[in-house]
Amino acid sequence: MAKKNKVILIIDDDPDMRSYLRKLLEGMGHEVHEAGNSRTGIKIIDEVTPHLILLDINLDDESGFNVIGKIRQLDPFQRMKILMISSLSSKKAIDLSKKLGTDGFLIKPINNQTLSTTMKKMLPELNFPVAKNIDKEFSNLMGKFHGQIVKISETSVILQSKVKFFEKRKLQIDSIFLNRNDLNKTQLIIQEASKDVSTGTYNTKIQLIGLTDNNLKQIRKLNTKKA
Amino acid sequence: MAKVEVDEELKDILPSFLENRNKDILTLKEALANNDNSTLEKVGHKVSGSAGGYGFEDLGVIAKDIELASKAGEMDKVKSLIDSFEIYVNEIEVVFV
Repeated sequence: MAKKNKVILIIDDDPDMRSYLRKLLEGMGHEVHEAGNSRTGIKIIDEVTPHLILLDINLDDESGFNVIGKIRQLDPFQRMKILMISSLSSKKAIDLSKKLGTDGFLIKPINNQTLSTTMKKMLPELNFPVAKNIDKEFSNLMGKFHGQIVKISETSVILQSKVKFFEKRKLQIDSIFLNRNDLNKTQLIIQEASKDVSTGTYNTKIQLIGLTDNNLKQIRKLNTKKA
Repeated sequence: MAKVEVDEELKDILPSFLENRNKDILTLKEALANNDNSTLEKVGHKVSGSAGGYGFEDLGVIAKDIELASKAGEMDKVKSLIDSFEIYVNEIEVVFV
């Protein structure tokens, strides 16, 4: 059964359209983000990795058709689904959308019923892949994602991100924070399965192993600074 | 003016939608006075896309006609449509369902 709560981004230059779609989608239980132009849209996509993007064709700053290419650069395996929205009901626009690899087309005005039916139909497809049975000794899984270290102690860090970890595994993180604080040589081990913070956001406790005296001093300094 | 049925779910975002349509009336009149067809088309296009979703199908049709008449350069028609747009917005009577 597909989980209902999905992360959805609306890219449309009309604030009334965005408010309307947000209202309906939040009413369906989804987490909704908004962008009024393509630049902000791309930034949000990079930050929140939405399951679905509702993309208007006629944006003020550029055509929605151009934005598709930029989205696919961030998501070459087309994990994020794209629904084009437009007042253009021409066959040409719909064909071009299909050709550019989008997943559907909604013609404005969009009523509650149409949106609800489309979402119900799309829901099973709005899932990101899960990596299973990764061999502990021989396999590596590499990924790029936004995350934030929200807590650090002398034994562990809490990583907040959109990635959910299930098993106790060694982890390598190329993080500006860890590099800056000279913690990049420390061994990292996922201590327990990630915990849900909010829709699609997880906290993962990561054990720090092999900390030097300098590392410990630096961590204490960081926590004193915060306090 | 007939009563318009609007989804109860949209109650808190409706005032902002109507306020923006009042702003559109001024923008449309100014654009008409300046023969600014691009703005007329843009406003018409925008409202034709959103009005129907909120429940104002007739306003969406007027807005679409403003877009098309501006594109065709039929300015007398545009003027009359802007009047209809203004009357509609001023006389709207909403019933939440």
